[in-house]
Amino acid sequence: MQEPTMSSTPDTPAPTSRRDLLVGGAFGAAATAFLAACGGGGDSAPLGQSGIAPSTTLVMPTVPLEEPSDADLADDVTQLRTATSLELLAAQLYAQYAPRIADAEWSGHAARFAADHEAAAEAFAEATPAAQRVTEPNQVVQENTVDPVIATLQNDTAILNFFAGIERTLAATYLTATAAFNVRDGRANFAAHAAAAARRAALMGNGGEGVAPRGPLFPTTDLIAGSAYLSEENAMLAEAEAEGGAEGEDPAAE
Amino acid sequence: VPTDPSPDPATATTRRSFLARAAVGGALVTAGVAAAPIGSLVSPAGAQDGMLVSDLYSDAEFAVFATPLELAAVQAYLAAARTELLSRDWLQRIRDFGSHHQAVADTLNPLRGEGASRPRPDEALLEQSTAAVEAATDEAGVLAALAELESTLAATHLAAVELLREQFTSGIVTQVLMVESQQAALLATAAGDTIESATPAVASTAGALTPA
Repeated sequence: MQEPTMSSTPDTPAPTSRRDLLVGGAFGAAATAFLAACGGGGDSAPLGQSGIAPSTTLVMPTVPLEEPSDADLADDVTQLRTATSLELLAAQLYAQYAPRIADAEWSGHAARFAADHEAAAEAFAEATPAAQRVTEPNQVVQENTVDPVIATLQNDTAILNFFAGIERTLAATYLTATAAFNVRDGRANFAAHAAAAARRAALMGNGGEGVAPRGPLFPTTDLIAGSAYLSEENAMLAEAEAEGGAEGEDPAAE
Repeated sequence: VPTDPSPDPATATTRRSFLARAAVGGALVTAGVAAAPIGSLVSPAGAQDGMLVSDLYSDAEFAVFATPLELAAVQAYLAAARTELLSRDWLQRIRDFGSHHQAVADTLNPLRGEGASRPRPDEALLEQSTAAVEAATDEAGVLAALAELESTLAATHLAAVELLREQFTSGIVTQVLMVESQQAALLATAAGDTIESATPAVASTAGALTPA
């Protein structure tokens, strides 16, 4: 039997790991693009094309991840502040209405959900720079989504459907944040909270009987309004409106 | 693409864990998403420092990994429908849930690239999930097996979210895992699990599958 040597080629090719394939493939494509870009003069250029051949390589294998810009980070802060305010609102609503649910089991779950949302609010707040943390429930969602229906929450079915709607709102908002968040590992955390909210929505829907998803993708139809995001722009708009209102009051006062 | 079922959360996101270890200088990362801090916004460099674009999944790479998993789920749902253990209502729901996985597979498949061979169900997941379905002796057993499958897929997608190169794709994958989470919750509670166990405060990557 021949003793294997370092240079021998085994009969059966060694298994290629996924990473080998990816790295090799990427490098191969990069090398091809590099050669194409370095390729000689006009003789080698394809007909109908001038200049350097376009590279089909989308990324180089050793390109470090781009750091988020200041604007990106500001957007992320907005997402975190908004999430904190939504969690605070949800926690407050569950705490307020859990005792009013006649069904003891659902009442207990609602009380637990209040605690879960409170913990989520703390987690989102901790991820936010201290000076920009939020401590109040989302006022826009309170006024536009909660206040108009609050008087209808007179029985278990109505309350559970209401909470299912609140959870869908949180889920859709976090889903959108997942696709928008710039700091990479923050995306998974938004997704993890979105999935938890989606579960609660599915079980509480239809008055606690449960509602099955109607398609393969969770819808974004319950996303909060743009004015509900706690962004610098919205803060400036609110401030301007307040000033405008104040100015408008002056003539009347005179 | 074979998969490696990892019941241990510490190994659920192998690629992420590796990268995270590299980023923190060898500190052991022992938990998945549930135990990780939300973002590293205060110190963004900590989150992405040391990571390369090539460490992330392209859409094609993710599709190569995930399409067979979704196809395995389709087959498991077909097996469930064949058991004759389901009520009419649940039979309809099972068909709907199965169609969701087929739709996801149909969406992912073109991303695998023009030269990709015809996708086939992931053998390991197919064997595991259909065996569990076929071993059931009543409706609750079938639903419990499917709930486990949905939880596995949701955890798998959750583990991939932050490893995807394209932000847009992260959003789509999140939409998928949210529906899978809902299906898991509905199946589990119908199978007899408590609402408490079906509604964790935060979703986890425990049990996520990783590329072999």
